[in-house]
Amino acid sequence: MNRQIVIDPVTRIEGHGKITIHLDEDGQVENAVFAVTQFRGFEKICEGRPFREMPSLMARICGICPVSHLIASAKACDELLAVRIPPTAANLRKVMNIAQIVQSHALSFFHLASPDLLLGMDADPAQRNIVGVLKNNPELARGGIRLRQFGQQIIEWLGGKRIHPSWVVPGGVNGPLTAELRDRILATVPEALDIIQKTLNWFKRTLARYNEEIRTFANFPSLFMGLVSRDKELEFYDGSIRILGAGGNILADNLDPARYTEFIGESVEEFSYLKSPFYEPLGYPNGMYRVGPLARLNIIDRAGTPLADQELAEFRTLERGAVLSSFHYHYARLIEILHGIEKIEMILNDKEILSSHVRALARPNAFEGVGVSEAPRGTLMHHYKIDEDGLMVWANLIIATGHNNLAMNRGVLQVAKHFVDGRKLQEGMLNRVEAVIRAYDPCLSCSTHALGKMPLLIELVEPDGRIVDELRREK
Amino acid sequence: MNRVLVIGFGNPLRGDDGFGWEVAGQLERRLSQESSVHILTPIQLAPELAETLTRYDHVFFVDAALGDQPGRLILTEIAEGNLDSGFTHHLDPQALLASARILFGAQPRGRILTVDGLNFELGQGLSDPITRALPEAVHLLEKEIEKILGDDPEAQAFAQTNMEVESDA
Repeated sequence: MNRQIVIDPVTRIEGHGKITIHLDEDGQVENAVFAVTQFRGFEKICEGRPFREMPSLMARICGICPVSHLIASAKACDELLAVRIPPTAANLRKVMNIAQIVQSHALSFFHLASPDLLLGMDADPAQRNIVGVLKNNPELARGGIRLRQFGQQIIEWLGGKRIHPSWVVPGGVNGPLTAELRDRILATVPEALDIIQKTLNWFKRTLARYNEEIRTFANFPSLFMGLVSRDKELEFYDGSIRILGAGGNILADNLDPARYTEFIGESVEEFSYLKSPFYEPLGYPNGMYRVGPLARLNIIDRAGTPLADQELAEFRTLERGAVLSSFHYHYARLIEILHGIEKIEMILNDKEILSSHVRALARPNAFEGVGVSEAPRGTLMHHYKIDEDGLMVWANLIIATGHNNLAMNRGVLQVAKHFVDGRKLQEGMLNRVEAVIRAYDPCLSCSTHALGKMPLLIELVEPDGRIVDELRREK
Repeated sequence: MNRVLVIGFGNPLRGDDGFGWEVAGQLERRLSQESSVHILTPIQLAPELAETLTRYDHVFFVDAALGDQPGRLILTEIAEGNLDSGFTHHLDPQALLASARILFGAQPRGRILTVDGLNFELGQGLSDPITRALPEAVHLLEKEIEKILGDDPEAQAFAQTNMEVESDA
């Protein structure tokens, strides 16, 4: 006699997904899957559009990470133009991309994850939210708001608006940086650094309370993938792909991102609209890998900025070899914020940053282009084909969240098996099943869009339809 | 000089939910010479807006609401209340004002103008009753803002709560 528990929707994530937990006759967890339940189909929408529209069109995929899509799309278009964009343009794009990562990570940590971390996984759900955080730890809430503003302001100042800026274009950026704006951004750096260092110290003190979650939150061997710089440092914009093996060994290095089809396969699960990519040489599903902050910190030799390198050294004492628990995505996110702020300062102090040469102009010179960058949630791939008139004929997008699909599913199963007792549901145990998904900070908005009311209903249903237990959370 | 912020929020791709944006847009054109009046049009009220509120003495929120009299306008004082409404990473006007108070010590007077919407399905454009209510909504806010900028003592009274101005559009 099999039964199911359905968590629909999963809360405090970007977008709409559901978790189904299958129970055996004894009420023990047999299987669990995470499904993305709505379809958007941007790859079809763009067919027939002029390729120069792609960056601003693709930015519409998401209201949380529009800059990430803008950057990957512009890079794909650079390939269609077959140009090498001016170094200053690349640096300015990097600043905007990092600002996006900082503000997105701040949203994830302070607004979505910190209620669990500050108030506890078993706290009353009516209090376990951003409002609960600001009542119980105003300094943490204030810090989150200020860090979000730090990133959003940079995006707005550079691009003219916070969401969907059109400053990044094929061939570079639309205009140079002024000295006044550079100095205005640099003036915001010290406060941002102070906030993230205090937050890191607070977070590290709380870690001891979560030993059980650390041990069971998607804590398993997997591959890790991401971009690294030429010096094998943390890289969000350019570089080559490195894949770390399950044992912490480097499995593949210096891979050309444009040739991703040679090492990434894509499978489709019948229960989800989110694709499940895998590392082709190991096949499906053994080729399961993770991307995003945890993966990026695992694959690099060093961060490349002084304060982040100090934190990275401490982070790496968590485990011998790669850090495997997905609970530590939160930790990694904070270190990346620190690195991002330092890196922005570093780039803006480059003597060429005010150069007026920020765009390469050209007609389309290639029929196919691939753009790869690191989004907050991991490696983002845009792959376009155009016809002789420059119109889009084909597109393939591998969204950062998609790379983690297999690992998220494995994580949900692990947490459900450890915490869920199907004979009697408790909200706290189901919150942990959601929380493992939250650790990955999935941006399902990239493949779906949640609209309307989002109450949470969890039912335990016998095969004959009889409801044996129910938990309900109103909006 | 009193500083005034108008936040017209909602999703203009969901029919009448674009009411806030439309009102805000018209006000922006009409009040473009007023340096102490600022207009924002977010899709939702993100927590970081709490810090923005600290720079203003008066805040007007404009939104469409579920209601049974399409086109009905209600201007309501936002009472200082508790903070139990948070669900995800966006807030309601009451929680946002409370956040501004708790986190930043700001005490702007907050009011919200709502219209009973008729259609919230996917698509751009307001339904007829909501479109007809637009001029009255803009006029209503303009009048209130004029009172504030003219230092009308009545407009400075922070203690009023649940003041409602109803209008038949």
